[in-house]
Amino acid sequence: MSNARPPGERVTSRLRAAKAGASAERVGFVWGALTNVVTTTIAFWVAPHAQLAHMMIIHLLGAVLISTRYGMAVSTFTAVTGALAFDYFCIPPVFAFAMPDPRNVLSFAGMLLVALLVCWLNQGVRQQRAAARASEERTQALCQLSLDLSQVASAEELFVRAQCHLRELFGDQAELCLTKGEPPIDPDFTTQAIVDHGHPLGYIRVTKDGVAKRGDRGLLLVASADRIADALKLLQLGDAARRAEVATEVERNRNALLSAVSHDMKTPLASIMTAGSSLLSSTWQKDAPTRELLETIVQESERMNGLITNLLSATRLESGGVVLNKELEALDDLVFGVLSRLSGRLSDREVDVDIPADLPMVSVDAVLIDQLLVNLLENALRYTPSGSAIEIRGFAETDAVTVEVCDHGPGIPAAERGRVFEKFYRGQAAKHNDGGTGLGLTICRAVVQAHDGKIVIHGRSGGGTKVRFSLPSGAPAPLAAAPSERRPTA
Amino acid sequence: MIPAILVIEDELPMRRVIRSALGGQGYHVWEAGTKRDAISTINKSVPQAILLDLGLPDGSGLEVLKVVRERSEVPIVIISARGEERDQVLALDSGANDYVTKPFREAELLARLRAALRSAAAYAAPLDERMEIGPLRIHPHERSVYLSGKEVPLTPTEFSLLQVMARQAGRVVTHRHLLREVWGGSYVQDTQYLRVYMRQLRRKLEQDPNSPQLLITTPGVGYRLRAPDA
Repeated sequence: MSNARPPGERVTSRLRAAKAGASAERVGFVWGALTNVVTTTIAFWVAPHAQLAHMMIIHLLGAVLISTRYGMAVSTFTAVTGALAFDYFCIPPVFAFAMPDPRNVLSFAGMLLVALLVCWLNQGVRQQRAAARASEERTQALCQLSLDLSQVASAEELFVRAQCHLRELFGDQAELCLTKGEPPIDPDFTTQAIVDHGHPLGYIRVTKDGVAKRGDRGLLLVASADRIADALKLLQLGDAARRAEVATEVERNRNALLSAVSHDMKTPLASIMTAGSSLLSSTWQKDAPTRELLETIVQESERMNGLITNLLSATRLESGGVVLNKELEALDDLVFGVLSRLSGRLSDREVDVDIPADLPMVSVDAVLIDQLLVNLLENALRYTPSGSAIEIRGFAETDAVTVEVCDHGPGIPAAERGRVFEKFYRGQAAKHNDGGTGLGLTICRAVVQAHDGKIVIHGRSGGGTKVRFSLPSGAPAPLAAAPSERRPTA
Repeated sequence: MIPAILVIEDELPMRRVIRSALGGQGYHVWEAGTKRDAISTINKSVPQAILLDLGLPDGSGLEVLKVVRERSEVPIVIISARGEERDQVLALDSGANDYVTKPFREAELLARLRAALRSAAAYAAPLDERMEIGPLRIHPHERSVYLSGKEVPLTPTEFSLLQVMARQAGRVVTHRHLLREVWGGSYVQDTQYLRVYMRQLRRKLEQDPNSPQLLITTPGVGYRLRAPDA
C-alpha cells in the first residue's frame, strides 16, 4: 500500500496535466484568430453588397461559435479582436480605427457587448453541463462502489475491490488503509478518514491532483469513504449474525441429539430394571451373592434412569420446549411429598421443616417444582457428611414465596456459587466420583426461571450451603372463599 | 377363573418382562404390539384388565382407551414414561384406572394391577357398604370414620373427599375427578379447595401430617389413598 513512485515523477505528472490545459487553450486562441480572419474576409468580400448590420452578424457568429467550445479567455479574445477587425475593415472609413460617425460607434459598442454577453452566457451553460456530467459520474461511481462492496464476503475482498475503485476514480496512487493508525503526512496527498459513528476504521489517501481531476472539491472522496464505512459495518453485522445463527443451530442440534439419545436409552433401561426386579422378587432360590448382583442391576439402572431424566429435563428446559402445566399448589404439600419419597435415603438425617400452614399457594407446574426439590435435597444428601441435619424453611414475602434448603456441609466457595448453575459444571469439591453430572442445579435454575422466579446460593456463617429460591405468589389461601360444606355426591 | 390381562406395549423386551412378571403371578397374558392388534383382540374378547402403553407405533394409547371405554368398564392401567404427566392425567380423566411410570419395579406394577382389579370390584359393590383400608374403617351409612378403632370427627366435605379416595384405594385419583365428585362439575379448576381440605384431612388422619403415609401426593396428577397391600 505504500507509494512506490518517486516524488520527482509526481511533479512531472502535475506539470503534464497543467501543460495539457495550457496547450488546449493555445489552440483555442489560434482557432479564435482564424475564425476572425475568416469572418473578416467574408464580411470584407460581401461589404459592397451588404449593410453594416449584416457584417456585424457575421462577426458575432464567429465569436459565438468559439465561445461554445472554449473558455472565457479565448472567447473574450475572439470577441475583442473580432470587434477590432470589424471596426478596421468594415466601419467606414475602411482601413482605419477612427469612427467619425457616432452611429457607427454605437454599432461597434453594441457588437462588442453582445459578443461578450453571449460568451459569458455560453460559459455558464458549459460550466453547468460539466457540473452535471461530473455529478452524474460521481453518482454512477458511488453506485458502482456500493453495489460492488455489498457483494463482498470478507474484509480482504472488500479491501481489494474498494482499492480498485479508488484507483479508477482518483488515480493509481490512491491507497486504502483499513487499520487504525495515523496516515503518513505528505503535502501532495489528501487524506480522508473512514469513520463509523466517530469510531475510526481506516483512511483513504489520494493525490491532490486525483481530487482536483474530479473537479468536485473532494465530494466524491468523502462519499467514497462513507460507502466503504457502510460496507464494513454491514460486513461486521453480517458476521455477527452468522456467528449467532451458527451458535444457535449448534445448540439446537445438541439439545435435539441429547433429547433423542436420552429418550431412546430410557426404553431399554426400563426393561432392564423391571426384569432385574422380577428376578429379585421371584420365588426362585437365590444365594446372597446372586441377590446382591440383582440388587446392583436394579439400583444402578434406577440411578442411570435418574441421570438420563436429568439430562432430558435440562435439554428440554433449556431449549424452551417445556409448556408449564400450572396449578395452584401448596408448597408444603410438595415438600412433604418429596420427603416421603426420599425417606429411605433420608433415614439417617434429621430434616427440620418449617413451612407455615398459611403460606400463600403458588401457581406452578408441580412436576417441575417436585424435580427442583428432589435435586436440591439430593445435592444436600450427596455433598454433606452423612448424619448431618438438613433444614427446609418457607416464608412469604410481599409478592413471592421463598423456600430455603440449608445444609451443614463444606459449603460452596463464593467464587463458584454462580458457576455451579452452568450445564455440566461441577464444583471443586464435587470432582470425585460421587455420581453427580453437573446438571442438578442447571435444572433447578431452569425450573425457577421458567416460573419467573429467582434462585441463589448463599454461604452460612457456621459452614454449609443455603439454596434459596423464590416463586411469584398467586392468590392468598382461599379457605374463606371455598364453597360451604355440601352433601356428598359420590 | 384365572384373570386374563391384555398387555398393549410396542417394545418386545418390555412385553417379555411384563409377561414373565404376570405369568409368575398366575395371570393369563394376552399381548398386542400395535393399536390395531389391541383393538382386534378386544373386539374378540374383553380381558379382566388391560396394561396400556400410551406410545404405540400406529397411534396413541388414548385412542385404544376410548374404544375400550365405549363397551367396557374393564380396569386399565396406563404404562407411561416420565415427563408424560399431562398424558397420564388425560388418560385418567378419560377413564383409565391408574398408571405406572417407566421404569418400574415388578412389585409396583403388580400392586397397581391388583389395586385396579380390586377397586373395579369396589365400584361394583353397593355405595353404602363398609370399607376397610389399612387402619381406616369407613361407614358410609353413618358417615363415620374410625382410625385404628377410634372415631375421627370429619366435616361433610372431608368425609366426601375421603370416601371418593377410599372407593379407589391404592389408585391415584386426579384433581379433576376429586373436585367433580366432591364439589361438583363447575369446580374442576379450583385445585386450591382440594389443597386446603387435603391438609385438614391429613391433620386429622395422619400420625405426622408432615410425613403423610395414607394420603399421598402425586405431583401434577392427584392424590392416592395408600392401600396396605399396594
